Amino acid sequence: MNFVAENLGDILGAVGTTLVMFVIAGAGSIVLGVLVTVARVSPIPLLRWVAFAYVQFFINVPLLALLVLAVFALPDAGLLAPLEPTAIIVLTLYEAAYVAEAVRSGVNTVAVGQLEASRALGFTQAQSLRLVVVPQAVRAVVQPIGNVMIALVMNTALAAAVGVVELTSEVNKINLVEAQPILIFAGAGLVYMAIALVIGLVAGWVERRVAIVR
Amino acid sequence: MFSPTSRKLRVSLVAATLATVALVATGCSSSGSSAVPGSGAKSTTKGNSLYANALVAKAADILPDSTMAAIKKRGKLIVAEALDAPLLSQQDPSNPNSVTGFDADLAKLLAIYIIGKPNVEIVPPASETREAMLQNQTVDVVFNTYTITTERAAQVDFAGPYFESGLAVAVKAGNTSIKSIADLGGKTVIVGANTPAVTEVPAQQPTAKIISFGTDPEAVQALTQGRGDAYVQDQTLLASDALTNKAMKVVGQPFTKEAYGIGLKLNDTAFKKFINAWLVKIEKNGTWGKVWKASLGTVVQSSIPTPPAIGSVPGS
Repeated sequence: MNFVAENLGDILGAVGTTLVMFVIAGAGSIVLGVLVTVARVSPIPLLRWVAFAYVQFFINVPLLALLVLAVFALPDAGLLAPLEPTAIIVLTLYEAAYVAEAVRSGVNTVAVGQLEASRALGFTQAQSLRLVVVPQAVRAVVQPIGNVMIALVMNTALAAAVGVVELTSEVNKINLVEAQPILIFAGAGLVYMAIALVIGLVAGWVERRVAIVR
Repeated sequence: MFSPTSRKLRVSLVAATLATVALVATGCSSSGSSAVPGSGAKSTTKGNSLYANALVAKAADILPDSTMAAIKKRGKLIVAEALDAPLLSQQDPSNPNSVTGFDADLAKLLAIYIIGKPNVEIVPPASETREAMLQNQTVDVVFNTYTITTERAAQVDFAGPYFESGLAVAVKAGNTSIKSIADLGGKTVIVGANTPAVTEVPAQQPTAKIISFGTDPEAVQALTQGRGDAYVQDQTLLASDALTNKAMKVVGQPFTKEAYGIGLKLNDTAFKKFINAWLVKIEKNGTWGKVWKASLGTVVQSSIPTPPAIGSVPGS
């Protein structure tokens, strides 16, 4: 277990990168995902269609393909962004589609009567979405969003393939020298598991706090 | 409130993604073909004549109850080798059954030596799992530019070394400031993930910033797109890349020596002895040289190198 001590600084740095990617992409994808859902249930046909196309595109194209596209194709279009921000943006766009699908199922839990009541009270379309529908929809899908966040943590590992030095890439490097794949990758797996566990517990706690008792 | 702005945002987003897809459709086809140097077909034909009169082990060499006897009984050799390593072990995109290159041809010759036929089952290894694949007997041998190191030798046995190579530096064609590894201090250096360069470059140039990519075509693309100042990789692979891609060039001489071994299960002494004896035989009778000439030799302007002596590096 020497090599863990020897590489501790690098490992912690790599775990940090994984967490930074998760936090930024996680927050971004929740915001973007909610916006996409709003567009999807909005009364404007073009907006609904664009949101539908967005979700279908990102759910049906593999994340690795998206990452490789963003890292190697965009520079040919004259857009050379650093690797880590590129990966974070791709992760955000990708997970937002899954968040949007989760929130959309939450929208369906909001009774039609509520929308009718808000209209009767004189709310505009935007107001009734912002003040009535979205808050209740998001509260209903905390745990599913938590699961999307857990998937996001696992998905950050794919960024290793396009040169981002996060946890998976770092343990790969250590294994190259130490040649102990089972031990090293099981160890990395435990770290991912611990992160996922924390997210799951936090999601459960938030769900209990915000649940609407009907 | 947000609908008008988010509508614009969404539209431009979709436009951007569509543009990306269109771009890649064109970009990929060019980089994809350059990843495979035009040597595949040639080495197949030459390879076939190699297999026709290849050496077969004497019945007495196949010890009863040994690993080689088990392989012979099974009728195929299970090999961990890459499918995407040009000149070493490359799958023909138009004919998936044809895998050619230096490692691939040697693996087939070993199969002939044991079984009498070039029956090889390929299990593409992730280079991070080679030790595990040998330990749990998923594969019989690893032919995967497997550099012999003492750390690895504690986990697996190595026959050979059967080839010696070294890391070299490649830069963009217009670059005149970088001439060797000595000029890479403080520079951004592209390396292949899971290649010796990952550790060798920081050892020689601690101030260099390393970025690693999963495959060689990706690394070449990254170099030509300017994500790094230099690309450090095996000299033969770089030579074949530079041959098909005029946007890059190889500078200076190799700065390391990598001895490649055939990975075997730990403590299978009889099998290791058997394979080492085979290596000596094919090196003596000229087969080794012919395999080199048909694969790596197609991009290097030099005569057939001398194979390294068996057991000449620590760990073998």
